[in-house]
Amino acid sequence: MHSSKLQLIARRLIGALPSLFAVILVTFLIMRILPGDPAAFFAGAAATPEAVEEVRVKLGLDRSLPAQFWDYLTDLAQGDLGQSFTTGQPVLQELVDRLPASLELSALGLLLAVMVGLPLGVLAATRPNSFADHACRLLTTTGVCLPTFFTGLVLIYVFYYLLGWAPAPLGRLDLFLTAPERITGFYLIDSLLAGDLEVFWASFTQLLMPAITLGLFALAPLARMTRASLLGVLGSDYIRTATASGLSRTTVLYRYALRNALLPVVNTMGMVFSYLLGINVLVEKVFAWPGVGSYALEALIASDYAPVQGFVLAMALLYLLLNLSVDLVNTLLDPRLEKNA
Amino acid sequence: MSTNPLLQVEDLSVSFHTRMGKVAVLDQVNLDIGKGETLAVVGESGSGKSVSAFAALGILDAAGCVDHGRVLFEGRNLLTLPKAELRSLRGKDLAMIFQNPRTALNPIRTAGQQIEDVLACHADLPRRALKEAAIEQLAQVKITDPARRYHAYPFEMSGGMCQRVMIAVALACKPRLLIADEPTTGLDVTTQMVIMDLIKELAQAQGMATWLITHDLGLAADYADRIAVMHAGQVLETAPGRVIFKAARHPYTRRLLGATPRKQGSLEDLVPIPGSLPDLRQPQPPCRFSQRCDRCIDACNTTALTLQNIGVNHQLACRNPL
Repeated sequence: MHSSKLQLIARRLIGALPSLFAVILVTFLIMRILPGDPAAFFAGAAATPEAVEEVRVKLGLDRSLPAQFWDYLTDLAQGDLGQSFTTGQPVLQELVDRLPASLELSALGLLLAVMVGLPLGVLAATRPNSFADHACRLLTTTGVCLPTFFTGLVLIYVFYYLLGWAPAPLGRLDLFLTAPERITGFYLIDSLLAGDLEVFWASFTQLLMPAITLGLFALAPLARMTRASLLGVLGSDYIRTATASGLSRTTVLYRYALRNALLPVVNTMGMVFSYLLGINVLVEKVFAWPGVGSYALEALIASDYAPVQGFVLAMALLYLLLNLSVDLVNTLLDPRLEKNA
Repeated sequence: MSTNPLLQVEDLSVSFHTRMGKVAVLDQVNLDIGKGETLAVVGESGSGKSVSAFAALGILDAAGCVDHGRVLFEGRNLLTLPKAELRSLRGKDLAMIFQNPRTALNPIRTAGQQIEDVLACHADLPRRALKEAAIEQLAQVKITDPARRYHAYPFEMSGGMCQRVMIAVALACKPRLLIADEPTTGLDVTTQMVIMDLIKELAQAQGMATWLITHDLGLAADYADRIAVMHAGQVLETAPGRVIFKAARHPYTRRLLGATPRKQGSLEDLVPIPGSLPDLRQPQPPCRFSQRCDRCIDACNTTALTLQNIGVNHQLACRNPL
């Protein structure tokens, strides 16, 4: 049983290598096709053509594309993601510094969505056409319709500007507080490990609004999938068997129906989390969140190749791990998958 | 009429609320099953055989609604019993097995777990004893190597094996009535016989009554003490199997027999029943078979139809019987 899981992991990791290579190649090419010349950008607006050319040679951008790609690959193989032209820092270091901020935000957003979406979906499925069902429909439709940057701005306007309940949307922590000592990079965890409840609470309140913004978006697919899947399961033969066997309603609902209904929900959760990683780019901008999304966005505007390539590669790796864990969770839930794996 | 009834269905009328309006599915169904007796309810698909059983157990779909009637189990009306009390009867005193055993079992729980779930719900057993009891139950339905099958999931077993597990689940608490809803549909012919023999053997061993729902008259004749013939939600004739085959009085029963293959006849001897089940969304005449019947007289469409005793254990609902 255990070896089949390890086999699955190994097979998936090896199987992902071609796609990872494709990701590396495509991002590399797209960055070079996009308009914008980093050499001109760095030489400045007043630079002479000779000065621009000088910068281009210095950055190694005068070499042929295959040569540049080969350099990039050999660097990658040594774990070197290159350096940012703008900050002059190694990309790997900056990604490692900023990734926890993005992950903490996305994870909390997903957690909020799961905490609200799953019960909502269950309520809607067990009481079709009830108030809960209509509320679920309204909330999910709204969640899908509103673009996240817009909900983010509305939340800031209402809860920070009008009501003053939320802290200023300026990053992960109030300016007067110092970040907890870095252990995991997640402020919520690090502050607890340091025993600093004040920082924990401060970072939590900072997190809350962007997380709700993400959560509202993620809520819709989760609640809808839970509702649809549970409705389908509740109408199936084995639920009738369970009822006919006199099992209590809670046993039927949770042990028989919900566990079966969760399979597609877990898949949706994985999908939603990967969407959240993408949407983060906008939300981080709105909330001045020092995550990888805003880092990549700034680099993209500056035609700064290395950070964007590094960002895309990191996201691809995350996505890979995410799908793998979704599959592993599914094999735990569904014995049929384990035998096939 | 059996003299010692365990379950009596009296004037049961059930309708379903659908998008096209109310559908009167059952019309004054009367059935009774004695202790240890096997009653087979036969009829075409859609004749209300399964719905009667679902209504009796209180497991109708949300769209279904009992308009009228009583279902007495040892004198207690199941239809008015508080939900919790009915639930404690289900699985303990009244159990049910279904067609398509593969889908009737939870795909992601092992055979053993599903038996244990029922035992834990009804029997007062300590946790450790549950597993033993479940394995014993699997052995009782003649599953080879029950200790290993205890850990098997439905998808790892054949259809016949799944139906055995289903029977083991249903009989876990030694019920007094087993409702078997087309238990052999979807199984191959040899497995059908094995499963039916198993049900019969276990029923006899435990003194359990069986309410067998089937569309197969041959199967009903082989395994049932009495046969009730249903058509479009009405019980038309009830009699011991022998009487049904030799001296059926209802035109529909005769037609049904004419459409049933026999050991000696050839396929050409089979006579199809004309027409199809009436559209129950429309108002129906007292006899719902009258449209398809060649013996229909005026009285069929005017006076109400009731099941009358016309002999020992023989009941009939027809204005112009054979």
